[in-house]
Amino acid sequence: MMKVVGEEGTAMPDFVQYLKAEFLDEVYLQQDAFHDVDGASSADRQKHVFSVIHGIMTTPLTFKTRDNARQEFLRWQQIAKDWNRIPMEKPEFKTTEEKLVHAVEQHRSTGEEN
Amino acid sequence: MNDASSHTPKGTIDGVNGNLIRVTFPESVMQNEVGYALLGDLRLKAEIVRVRGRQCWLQVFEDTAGLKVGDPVEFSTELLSVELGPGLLKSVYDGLQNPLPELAEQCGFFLERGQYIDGLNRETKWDFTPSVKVGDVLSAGESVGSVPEGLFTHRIMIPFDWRGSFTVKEISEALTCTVDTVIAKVEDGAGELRPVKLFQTWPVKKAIKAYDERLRPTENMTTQVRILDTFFPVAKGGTYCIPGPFGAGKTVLQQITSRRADVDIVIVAACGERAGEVVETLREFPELEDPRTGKSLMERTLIICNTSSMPVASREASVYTGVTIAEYYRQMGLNVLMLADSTSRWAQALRELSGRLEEIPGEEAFPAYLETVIANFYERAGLVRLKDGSIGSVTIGGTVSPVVTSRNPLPKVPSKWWEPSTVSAANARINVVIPPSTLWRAGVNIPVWWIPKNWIRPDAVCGPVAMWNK
Repeated sequence: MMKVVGEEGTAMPDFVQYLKAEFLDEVYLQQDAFHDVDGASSADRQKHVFSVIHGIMTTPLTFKTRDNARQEFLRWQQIAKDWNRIPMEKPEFKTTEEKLVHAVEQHRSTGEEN
Repeated sequence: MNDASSHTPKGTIDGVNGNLIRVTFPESVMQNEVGYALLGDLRLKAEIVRVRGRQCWLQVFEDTAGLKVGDPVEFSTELLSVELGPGLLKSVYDGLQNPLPELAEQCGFFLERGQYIDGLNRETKWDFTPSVKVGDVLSAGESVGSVPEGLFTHRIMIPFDWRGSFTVKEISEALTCTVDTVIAKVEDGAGELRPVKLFQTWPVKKAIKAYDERLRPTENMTTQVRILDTFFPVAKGGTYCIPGPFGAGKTVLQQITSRRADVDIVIVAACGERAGEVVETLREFPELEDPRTGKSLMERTLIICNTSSMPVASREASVYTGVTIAEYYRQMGLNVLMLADSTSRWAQALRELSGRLEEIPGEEAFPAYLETVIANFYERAGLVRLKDGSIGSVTIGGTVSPVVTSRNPLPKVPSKWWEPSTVSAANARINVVIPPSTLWRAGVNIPVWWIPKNWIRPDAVCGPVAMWNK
């Protein structure tokens, strides 16, 4: 549908929904099979990571422009991909998680309305 | 190898059609009995697939070039069987349980027809330790002792087809022996002594049922692949299949699963796939480290190769051989994952056979009973409580190429199925991308164990994903 009407013809909430789906695909559905940590995700880790991703998926987000939305999601994707490569027992795991959640939360609290 | 004897029932070929021969026999034969078509000194293994009056039809597991009307056929009076005992793990077999490395030593790079080798090495020594004493009463599937086999304790069990209870009359001390050594003698209800060896044989098309109870699978088999564990979890003892077009990554997904899955033993049955893919598995697996044990992945793996360059008739045998061995290790309280790659090629073999038998064809010329055959195969998966109280499971995962077989093998996979990729995604070489919308469209219930309920709604992700899926 978006291919037919183009980005400009897509309502902002739908566009954000689309970006959320892309985010889920990039950071959760895809794994780097060649990376020791990202290549094998234990059940505990999956539960934990999924709960965070689920939180992001269900957080209402608002952006001024589509470019701004895309930029933010790309930034979060990068943080989440780095997070996927950190062993769960390392302190960096927690800090990166907080960084991701904070980035999303900060945007929600300060984000401009559509 | 079966020895020919003067008492072996014989028949005469009166028709050859590809790998199917029609044989007239004077005595009795049975369905699925093994026969050997004699071509000079060669004995070509075959299986009876149909009996009508005094005629039977056999599918020959070899090239039939040279066979002609009037050639003799010997019947073994045994069903197509595999040898079950220590030494199966780390092996690489063909569909008829011939160890391929030994066969290659014997024949060179190009395997000759009519060459059969025992599935289990008769020279290898095993350290047997008894676990019963004289006077103990046992039944089929119960253990008389064990031998260490790599990472596992391999139970030596009363043959699964023995009915009733048996009293142990003789049991050997701990000793080092070969697989054909008699390590115990037990007395049946009629007072007859029966020898127990380290190995037994079992017909591949019959499920092993020497357990107490079949349980409902409830525990998740963690594959450590997020897309599977989170969105399409498979239970230990469950079944699944991976449909996808060529190049979608079905085999890759199976290989990843076999490395990381939370199971004890993995059996890979390469059924009609390209030889290159199997060679890749054969080269990689011995070098890969098992994340659970730190040892070679082959220590807990068994590979059955029946590639596209090998006889079509043995494709069917290869999946049955694989699942029979899987059931055997389940009898030891182990969790086994059996990967069949690909069931489409198996379906092709069934189609070829059905055509030669001149049966009324079903959709796309596949036999009308295809679904039943495939369902019967998948039904051999399961979680069971054994007679000693331990739990074992066989999980079966098959791949299907819908392009080849439409979606024929799909409807009868009893549990659930994954949709790894769309055709366009396959073309773009995008692997393991599962559009959830596909599943909602297909009306499949996604069994989830930790995803919050409010998230599992089509409007949560279906909108954008559906667009992307187009």
